[in-house]
Amino acid sequence: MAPVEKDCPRNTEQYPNEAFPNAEAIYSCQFVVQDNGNTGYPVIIRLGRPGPLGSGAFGLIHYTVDHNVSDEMVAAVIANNAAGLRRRDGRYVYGLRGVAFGETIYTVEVIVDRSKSVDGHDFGVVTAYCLGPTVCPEGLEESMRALYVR
Amino acid sequence: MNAHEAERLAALVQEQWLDRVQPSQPAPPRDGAGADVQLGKAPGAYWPLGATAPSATADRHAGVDLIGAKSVGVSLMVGFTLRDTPGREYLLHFDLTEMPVELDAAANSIYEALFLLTDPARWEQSRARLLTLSPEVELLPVRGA
Repeated sequence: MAPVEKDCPRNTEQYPNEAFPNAEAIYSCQFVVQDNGNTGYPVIIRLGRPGPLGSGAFGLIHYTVDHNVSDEMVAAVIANNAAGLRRRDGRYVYGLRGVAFGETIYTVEVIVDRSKSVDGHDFGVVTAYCLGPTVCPEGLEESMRALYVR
Repeated sequence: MNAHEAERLAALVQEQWLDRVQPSQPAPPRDGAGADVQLGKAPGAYWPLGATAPSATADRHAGVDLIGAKSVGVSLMVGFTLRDTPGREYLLHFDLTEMPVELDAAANSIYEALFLLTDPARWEQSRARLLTLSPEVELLPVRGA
């Protein structure tokens, strides 16, 4: 199923703002995707920041810069799962596995934190990566698109 | 990855293992009947649209029981048993210098290597990487094991 990127909650796209004057820009919402075929639980994707372990990296910039995962891939993984699998640490994992480049099976995982952020909405996507290499190869999204766009 | 991170990874591998094998709080089922989830075995979503609750979460890991994990410098040793070879204990040795520094991702890579052991199509390939666990290797027990 093709993912649909939906609008952010009101007053969450550009921080700081009048509604949330103390919210840092890194928490600005970028888009929302619902699991269960674009009809289920809304997962928020925030701007985030890059960096290695321990740096507090998260969000769109982290998965894009550090793991070479695209927004579309993140959205596709979430939309094509009925729900996330809850881990004991409270976070949720969504996964999508498919054959890419004609022969190799790749798995893309998205980790979601539903605890509340500064604006009262879910923290959202913490990270996304390819299992194994963690940095996804160039062209993976294009190669796997047939898996979810029908 | 450095030695300190390797130590944290060893702890994380143990900490999360039972979550992966026997989730204490499986996600609630949703409407819609479907085939069992083929988590980790076939192309597709972990929890496919229209499928019932992911009861196959444990199935993905069936066949491998973790004994423990321990870091030695920038290496990680993971001990485990395979249910189809009862009485034998194995050790996987990972060189962490090339591992990702993000612990969650690194732990997943460890799990993936273990899960390959349950894949008949890759059995021989995986088995070739195994060592027999020596009695002198002391591994911390898995939480709850």
